[in-house]
Amino acid sequence: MDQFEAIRKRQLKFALGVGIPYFAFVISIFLLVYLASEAVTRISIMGFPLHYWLVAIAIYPITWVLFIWYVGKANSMEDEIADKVGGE
Amino acid sequence: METGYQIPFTALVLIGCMLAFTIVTTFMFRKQKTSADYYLAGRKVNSFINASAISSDYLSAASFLGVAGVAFLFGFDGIIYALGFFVGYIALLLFLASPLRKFGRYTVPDFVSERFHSKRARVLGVIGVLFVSLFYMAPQMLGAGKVMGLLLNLEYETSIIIIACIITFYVTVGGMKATTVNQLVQFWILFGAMFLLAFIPFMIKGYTYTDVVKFISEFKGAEQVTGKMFDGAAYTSPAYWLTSLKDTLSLLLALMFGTAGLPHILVRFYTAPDGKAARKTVIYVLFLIGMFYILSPYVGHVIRYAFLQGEAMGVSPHLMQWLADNGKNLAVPVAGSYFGGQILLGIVVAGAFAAILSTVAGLIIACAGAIGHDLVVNVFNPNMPERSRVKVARIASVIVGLLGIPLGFWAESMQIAVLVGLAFAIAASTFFPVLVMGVWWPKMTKNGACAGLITGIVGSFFMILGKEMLPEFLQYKNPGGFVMILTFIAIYSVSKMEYASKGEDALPPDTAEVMAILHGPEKA
Repeated sequence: MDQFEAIRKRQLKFALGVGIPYFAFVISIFLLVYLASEAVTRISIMGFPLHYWLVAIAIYPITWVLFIWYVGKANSMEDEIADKVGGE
Repeated sequence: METGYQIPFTALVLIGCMLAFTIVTTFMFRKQKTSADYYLAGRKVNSFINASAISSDYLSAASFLGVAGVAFLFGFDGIIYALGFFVGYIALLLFLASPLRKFGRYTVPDFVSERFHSKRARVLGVIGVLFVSLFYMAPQMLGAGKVMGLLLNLEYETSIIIIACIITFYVTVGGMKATTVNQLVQFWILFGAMFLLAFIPFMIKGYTYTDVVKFISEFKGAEQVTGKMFDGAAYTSPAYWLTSLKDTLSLLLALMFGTAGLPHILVRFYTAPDGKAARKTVIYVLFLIGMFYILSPYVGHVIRYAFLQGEAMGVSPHLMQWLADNGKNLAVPVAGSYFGGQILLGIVVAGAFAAILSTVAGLIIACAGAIGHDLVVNVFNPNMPERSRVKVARIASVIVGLLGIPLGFWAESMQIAVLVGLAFAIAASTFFPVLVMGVWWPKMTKNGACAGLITGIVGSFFMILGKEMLPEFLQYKNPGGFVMILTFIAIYSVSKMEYASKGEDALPPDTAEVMAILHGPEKA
C-alpha cells in the first residue's frame, strides 16, 4: 500500500504543479484586467484591446497547448506506473 | 398569433428532421438489458463520440443563447461566462476525470456513499444532484419556451409543456445510448449554427472583432427603440456589470470549479472505457467547446453593433423590438434572422433546440440515476432485480422530465446564463470540494464528507434563494466561490477533529484499497 501512496502523491504533485500555476494565471488575468482596467483598456494590439485579447482569445490556445501536453504526460505516467506495479 | 407573423418553415423542417432522427435512434436503442446499459451506455463509448456528446450536454441553452446574450447585454463582463465555462473543464481533467472513471460507479452519490460507506452521504448526494440539476434545468426550459414561442408564435407555457414531453419521451425510452447518439448529432447542429452565425458577419460582411469593439466603444448616446443612454466605452471595459471585485471573483471561481461538480457531466465520464480514455475525451471537449466560446461572445458583440446602428444597417423595426424586449435571451436567433434570413434563423433555432434537448436529456439521466439508482435501489431496496431497476430508472425519468414544466414557468423572467451560473455555484460549492478531497485526501472522514455536502447545499440555498435576508457583505451576484471555500473549510476541519478524537478509526476501513483503485493502474 505504501507503493500506492507514493503513486497518489506523485500524481497529486503533478496535477497541482500544472493546475495551481494555470488557475493562478487565469485569476491574475482577471485581477489585472479589473484592478488596472484604465491602464489595460488603453493598450491595444493590432487595433484590438489588450483585455479582449487576454480574456476572449489568448486563453484558449494557451489552454489547448498546455493540456495536450498534460494529458500525454499523465497517460505516459500511468503506463509507467502500470509497468512498475505489474512487474512487481 | 401576432399579425403578419410568418412561421419560419426552414426551422420547422430542420427541427422536424432532428426529431425524426431522435425518434428513430430512441426506438433503435429502446432495449436496455441492464441498468448499466440504461445509465452508462454499457461503458463502451469511444472518446470522440463521447466528447461530442459531452460538449452537447455542456453547451446548453446557457451557452448557445446565454453567452451571446450576456455579451450583448453586459459587453466585456459577459465574456467572463464564456471563459469560466471553458476553464471549468480543467479542474475536471486535472483532478477527477480519470480517478472517477477508475472507481467505476454510476453516479456521484454512488461515489460518496461507497468511498465513505455512508447511506447518509448517499442521501445528501441525491439532494445535491437534484438541487444542481433542477436549477440547471430551469434555464433550459426558459430557453426552450422562448425559442419555441419565437418559432411557432406559441404561448410560453404551451411551449414548455410540449418540449418537456418530447424530451421525457426520448430519454425514458432510449436511455443513455439513445441520448449519446442524439447528443452527438445535436452537438454538430448547434456548433454548425454558431459557426455560421460568426462566419457570415466576419467573412462575408467583413465585421471584424476589432472593428465591432472599436465602434461600440466609441458610441455614446441614446439607443434606438428604448431611448436608453448607452455608454460604449463602459460597455467594452471591465466592471460594466460586475462592479465589485468580490462578485467577479466569486462568479469566476463558481464557473471555474462548477463544471467539475455537475452531475450530468460527471456521469458521462463513467461511460468511457477507461481512465486514459476519460482524459483523452476531455482534450477533445476542450477543443470543441473552446472554439464555440471564442465565437459566441463575438456574436453577442456583433448583435450589439447592429442594434446600435439599427435602420442604418438595415435591421428591421420588428427585429429591433425583439432585441429591445428579449435581447438577453434571444439575441442569437435575432442575429440568425438578420444575417441569414429565414434559412439561418431556421438553422439557429434548430441549434438552440439541439442545445436544449441534449442538455435536458443529460440532466434527466443524472436525476433519474440519483432517484432510481441511488435512492430507490440502494437506500430502499438493494435486492431489486435488474429488470425492475430499468423500470425504476424509466419512472424516475418521467417524473424528472415533467418537473421541467413548473421549473420553466418559474424561470420565465430570468436571464439564461445568469441562472445557469447559479447552478454552477451549487455544483462548485457542493460536489467539487467533496469529490476532490474524497479522491485525493485519504484522511477525509465520513462526517467530513457529510459536513461538506451540508455546507454546500445549505450555504448555496440560502445565499441564492434567501439572498435578501442576508447582510449586504454576504450578498453575491453568484455566491459559488464563497460557499465553495466554506465547504473546503468544513470538510477539512470536521475530518481533522474526527481524526484527532478517534484516530485511524475515523477513516473508512478500506481507504487504502480505495486509494489504490483511484490512483493505481487499471485492471485489464
